[in-house]
Amino acid sequence: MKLLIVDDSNIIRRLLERSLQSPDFTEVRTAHNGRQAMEVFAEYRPDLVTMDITMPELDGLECVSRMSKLQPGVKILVISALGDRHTAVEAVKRGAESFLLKPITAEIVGMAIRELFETD
Amino acid sequence: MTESPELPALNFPEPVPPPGPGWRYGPLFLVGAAVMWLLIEGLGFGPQTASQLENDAVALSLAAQQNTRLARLTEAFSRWHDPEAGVSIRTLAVGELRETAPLVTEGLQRLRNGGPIPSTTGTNSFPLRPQEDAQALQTLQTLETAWKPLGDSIDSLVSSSEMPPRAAVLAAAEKYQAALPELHQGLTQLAGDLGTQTRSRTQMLRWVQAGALALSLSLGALLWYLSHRRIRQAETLVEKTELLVRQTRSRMELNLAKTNGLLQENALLLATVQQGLLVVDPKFRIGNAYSKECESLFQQENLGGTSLLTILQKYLPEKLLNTTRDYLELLFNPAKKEKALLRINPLREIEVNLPQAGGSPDVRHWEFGFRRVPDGRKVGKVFVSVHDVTESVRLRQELQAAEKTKERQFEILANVLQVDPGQFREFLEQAELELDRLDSLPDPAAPGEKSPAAQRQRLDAVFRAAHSIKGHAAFIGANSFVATVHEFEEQIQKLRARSDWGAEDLAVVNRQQAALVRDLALARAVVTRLGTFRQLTAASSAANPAATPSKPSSTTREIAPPQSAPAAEAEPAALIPTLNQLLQKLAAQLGKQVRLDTSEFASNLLPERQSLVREILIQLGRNSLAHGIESPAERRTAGKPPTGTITLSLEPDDDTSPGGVALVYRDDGRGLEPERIRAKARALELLPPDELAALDDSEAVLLIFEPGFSTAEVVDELAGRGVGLDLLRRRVVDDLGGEISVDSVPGQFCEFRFHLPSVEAPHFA
Repeated sequence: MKLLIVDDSNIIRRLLERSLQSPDFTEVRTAHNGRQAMEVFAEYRPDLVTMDITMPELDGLECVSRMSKLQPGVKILVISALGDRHTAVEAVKRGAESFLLKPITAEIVGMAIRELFETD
Repeated sequence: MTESPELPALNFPEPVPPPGPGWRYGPLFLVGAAVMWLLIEGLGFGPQTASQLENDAVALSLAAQQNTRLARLTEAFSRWHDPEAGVSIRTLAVGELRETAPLVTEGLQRLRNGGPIPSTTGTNSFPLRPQEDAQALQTLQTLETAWKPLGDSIDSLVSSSEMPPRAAVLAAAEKYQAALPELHQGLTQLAGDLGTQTRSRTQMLRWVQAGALALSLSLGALLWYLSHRRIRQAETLVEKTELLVRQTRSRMELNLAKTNGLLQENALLLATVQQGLLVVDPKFRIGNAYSKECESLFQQENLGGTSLLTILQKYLPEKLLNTTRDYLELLFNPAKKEKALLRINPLREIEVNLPQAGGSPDVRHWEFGFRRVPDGRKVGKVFVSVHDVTESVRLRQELQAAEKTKERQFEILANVLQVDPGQFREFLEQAELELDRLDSLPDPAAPGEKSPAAQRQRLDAVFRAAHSIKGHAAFIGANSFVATVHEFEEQIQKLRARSDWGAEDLAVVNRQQAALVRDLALARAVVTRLGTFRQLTAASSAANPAATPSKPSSTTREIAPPQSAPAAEAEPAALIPTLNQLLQKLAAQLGKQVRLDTSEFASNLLPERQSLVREILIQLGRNSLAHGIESPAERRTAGKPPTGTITLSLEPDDDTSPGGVALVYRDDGRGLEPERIRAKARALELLPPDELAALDDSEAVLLIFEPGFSTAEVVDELAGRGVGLDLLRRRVVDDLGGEISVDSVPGQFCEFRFHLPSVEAPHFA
């Protein structure tokens, strides 16, 4: 399974990389803005994407829309600090599988990702 | 709920199984076998025996015929014994012999070997069976042996057509007569044999009949038994079935009762549960079964069929309503994971404004919960719960407020420990008095008091009160209040800059004012408690002086006055040092130097009017440092000592009024500059330009007492609101009936002279 981590914060990217070290992920790549995320996505075709919302160049919501269109079925986990009532619903509406509110811990992310691959 | 509730599974008893094939067909098989046997016996044995009996009868008859034939032979022979008999008679007799003798031979043969026996009528014959009985066969043998010579001799007599000689006939007759008894005996014997045979056959037939009868009876009994048994079984089956039906019915009645009970419980639950419970379909329409609480929450009846969004439209802002629509759509989209969706519920603890009849809206907090109700692979419905969490939100807010209060208490406590408790107590009293005074003003929020003039009056009054409280706080070093009151003052100031205000603006002022009142009460509680604590400490140090340092620490330096006189003013002597402290602090902040000269200040005149004097001194002190006293450099340039001097004097002034005092305040700063004051007044439009121009210098300087006048460029916590002098004029002139005069030489000094009448009966306008 291929993983793409998108976040403009170096710290969060590193935290995610560290906490998602698992034999399940054969390959992990990162992107630090929306534009770069789309470039990597088009060539890399990951199975799972963790996506920040507030990013320079292209925001996360737009990325979610484009990725879902390019590769329907790709699992996108949005991880954002935007705690308002609208962003999360908007993200899921655009094709994200799930939504996590920052601050996050390795446990929370791990649990959310396990949840993504569960059946209801 | 629209769905019928799930009923408990009915548990019917197993039906009685029908009898197995062996059981069912066994008796029939027996009966069939019996019938078959009867048929075989009846149709086979019976007729056979009957035909044998008939055969016996024919044989008996044949045997009897032999007797008759022997009698005819005897008759024929006897004709020849009559010597007188004519030829014709003898011919007839010969004929008789010729005819009868073969019949006897034949008869005996038939009796033994069987053969057709012509009936008496001669129309048909009976097929006699060969004799089988050994006894009869023996008898027949004897008979045939006895008859054979007789038959032969008769045959030889009658074989020729001529008349036999009489002697020959008589000889034959003699032989015949001799043999006759044996023949008769044989025939009798034969008849006996045949009779015995017949009797035994008849007996057998009787047995068969009896057997058949018995069998018939047994069969009948068996049939009766079987049918009875079948009837019993059928009856048992019917009884069992009836029982089953009864049980089933009672079970169904029980289930129905249970169902009704469940339905009633459901209805009761929905009617009484203190939570909005409802179900929406994929078009977000509310189902017909929902809890009664929904109606009171949504302030609407008959919700069934109405879209949830239509209802929420009344309470939610448009953006949240749209998000809610999106969210509901996601809930009905089976491709989206429910767990993930439950995490992003946008209607978690939302604030709603419920319109109230003739009042401001009631602010409530609602918590929505959602759960999918699957229908196969689709999401058939979504279960929605609504909970009014206002109370818990309020409790949480109260908890936070309590937390804040605690912090505030600590802040005040820390502050009180640094200042004079008596002065602090006095500050609190004065501040409370200021705020109480505001209550006597008409409430601009009340109907009829909404005129901008009334509202401005109110704002000005609140502002002055806040300003005065802030000054006092700064004066005694109650820093915990300076910042908060300054913030309040700032807010009012922003409102004062506007020309009209909404109800919300004034409500904010009222809320802040109430908050300040609470804050003061909090401080009073802290001071009171601290006073008790200090008394205890003092008592313990008095009782045990060795345990306490001879010099009290700075925090307990000023022992609070006894609790019996909590309202007593601070020591008059403390006023001057405190004022000096404030002046030094201000000077340090502004980069100036100042010295306080109080040699002419009669502190003994203070107690009566301490608070007003203090207010005046604070205000003027601030003004001096902000506007009057120059920076050291400036002063040196002007040929003055770098340190400015503020001179205070307080002396009796009975000339104007008995018991009155004269308070003089003088600084050696730049003095009042009539031109700057005019310019400022022009900019502030305090007076029409022509009137302003008409004022001379001594009149122009009095403009500083006008409301809103300020010459300070920077507004801060310590000076420069321009309300100070306006406030003093109100207090001294309007409230107390005193007088204020100003004397100033630009570049040299500024002096304020206050005449304060006795304040034994202070009167507030």
